[in-house]
Amino acid sequence: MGAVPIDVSQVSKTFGNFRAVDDLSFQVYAGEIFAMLGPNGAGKSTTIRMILDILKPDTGRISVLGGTVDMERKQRIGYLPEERGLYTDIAVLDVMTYLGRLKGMKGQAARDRAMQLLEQLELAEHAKKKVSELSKGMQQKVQFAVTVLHNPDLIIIDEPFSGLDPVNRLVIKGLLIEFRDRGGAIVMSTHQMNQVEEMADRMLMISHGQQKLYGPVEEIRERYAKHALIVEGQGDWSRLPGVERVEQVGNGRGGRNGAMMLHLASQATNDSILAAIAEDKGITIERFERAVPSLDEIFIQVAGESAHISQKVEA
Amino acid sequence: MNKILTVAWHEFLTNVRKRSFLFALIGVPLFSIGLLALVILVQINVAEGGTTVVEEVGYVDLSGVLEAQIEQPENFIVYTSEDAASAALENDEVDAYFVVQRLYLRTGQVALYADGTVPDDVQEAIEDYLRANLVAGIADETQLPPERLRNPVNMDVFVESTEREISREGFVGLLMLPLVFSLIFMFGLQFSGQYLMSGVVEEKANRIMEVLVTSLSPMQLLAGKLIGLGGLGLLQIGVWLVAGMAIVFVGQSQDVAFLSAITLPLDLLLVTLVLFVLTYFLYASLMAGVGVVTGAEQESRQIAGLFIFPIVLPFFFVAQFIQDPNGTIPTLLSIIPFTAGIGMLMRLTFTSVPLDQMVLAMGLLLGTTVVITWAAARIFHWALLLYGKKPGPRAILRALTNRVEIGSTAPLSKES
Repeated sequence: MGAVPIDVSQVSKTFGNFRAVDDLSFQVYAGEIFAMLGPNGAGKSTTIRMILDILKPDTGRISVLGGTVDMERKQRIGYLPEERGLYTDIAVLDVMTYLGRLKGMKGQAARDRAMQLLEQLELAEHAKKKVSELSKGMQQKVQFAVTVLHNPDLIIIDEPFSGLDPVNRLVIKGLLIEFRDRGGAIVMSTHQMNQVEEMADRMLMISHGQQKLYGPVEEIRERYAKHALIVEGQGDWSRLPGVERVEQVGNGRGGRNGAMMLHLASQATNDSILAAIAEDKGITIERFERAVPSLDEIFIQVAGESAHISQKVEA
Repeated sequence: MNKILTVAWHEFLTNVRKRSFLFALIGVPLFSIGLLALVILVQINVAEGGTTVVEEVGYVDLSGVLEAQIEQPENFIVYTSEDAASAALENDEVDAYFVVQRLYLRTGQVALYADGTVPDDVQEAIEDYLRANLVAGIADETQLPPERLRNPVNMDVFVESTEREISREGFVGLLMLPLVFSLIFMFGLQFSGQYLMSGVVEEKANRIMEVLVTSLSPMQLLAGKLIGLGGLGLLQIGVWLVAGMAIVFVGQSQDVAFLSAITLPLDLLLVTLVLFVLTYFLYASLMAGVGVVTGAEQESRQIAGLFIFPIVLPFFFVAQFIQDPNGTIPTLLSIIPFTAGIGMLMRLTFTSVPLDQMVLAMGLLLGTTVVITWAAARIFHWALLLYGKKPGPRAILRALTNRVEIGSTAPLSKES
């Protein structure tokens, strides 16, 4: 593929007096799942629309699949908006063929590929049915199939898993990962942090149109990791050398104490604490891990900070 | 171009399979054929059932005018008294009899007796018989052919300089022609326009529009829709015209009076086609614009009702078109772009339109159609992704002059 699938550089966009996107820069690489996070109204949709050339940025430069978005490049993008629908009064296979042809495919090729995807999604028997006769979950799978029908190099999906049951979520997730592993680039805009933790390689978090966090997901979680440990077991954790404070973080179940967070003194290390636990006969250990925050926590923290800052600015 | 055709074919196929379309396409001609069948049936019934079958006609001449019995029909039998004629009717010797009253020459009074309604042709035969005997004497004196005295005016009406000849009976047919053409024209227009509008409303409502605009440009989308549904409209008026011709053909072969003189002039068909295509693009572009801006079916229909009004306006002036087809109102209505479609059609059936006026009308219609389609495409592009708040006239004006963000009513930012 060569070129970086998406290269956004210092892009801003204002509607009237409202600055929707403010000096935003990021890149999306081939063979990765890139998560775009942010509270409602943060500027995610505006950014996606600028990438898709529906809106023009006021300033900055956007390069998609190696250049400015033109019709030829749009053909290589698959897009699934958040609120989505299909023609309800037409047969599933016909809708898919039509949308495939609009992406530049030949009629028969579009039909064959649609059928292949329907089989993969276990919807082949519904190919001749009208879209309105399918369940909501099935319709969503068809919509996903339309997005990847023309074998794009880049797919942009808004909330890929909203409204899907766990089984179908797993099917779609498998398809997304397969697409990535074949070298495709995926941008997913979502609120579901656990999905990002599970699937995304890198992420961008925006708030008020500005970049708040950007980089590999693991790196960001590391960055927000506290100098602390999460442990479960029996005994008095506070008497361990190097532990400054013990905090209950999980509820105890079945007579256990539950998870505890051990806040460490600056000179203490994970190894020194582990060694101390091993020596202390009054403590039995069942769980021992670094306290890396979930993205949910980071999201709330960062979104909260920016809300706080903006309140101050307004005041 | 490929994508435009893909959209056009999709729109055509999708809508041609719709029940409502098939119903209109086949239902309207079927309904007309049914109506015609009913008319024919009633005519036959009237001829065979309600009215008496009259074979033998008796008569009594109290005035003496029929003494010479000139041109007496074979089935007429003379009786010397009313009683004799009445008895003959009773005995079924005759099916009807008439009495020429004593003061007939002064009053013209004739009494006709029968058991049921007497068919028109029998009454006409009686009149012809009387007329033949009345003029016989005068014709001898004046040396005029009796035929001329009986039938002094044998009129052919020529519509000025169209060379389109109308016989007296044909006038009703001539009046019907523009009305039928205009109705077909209007229905074709309205159906295609409505389909286009509801299609846009649906695509916008289910957000498939967002996927479409990443596959092709809004202009391509609009062009494809206009072509596909235009084809649908043409198919519709084509089927109706063929059905209409079939109805006229069958009707004429069955001697249905009001259909007897209808002819379908080829030049009128051709002009109708051109007018339809141009007016269709004008109207359908407006409908697409309305659909995309309002985003709601019911509201769009209401506004669309306003747009069809100028198109059918010439109907309201049908009297002026008949009396003075080259008068100010018909001339204006045939030239103003929105009314020209039906206006020109109506004028053409009654007169020949000067070439310069025809060129002016077509030119204006073409120009307006281009401008409106362009404006609609611009509005279409802008309002495709506009949700929620409905834009006011000011925002629409801004969109036309490209001073507003796509998918937003916010003015374009000035800083770039």
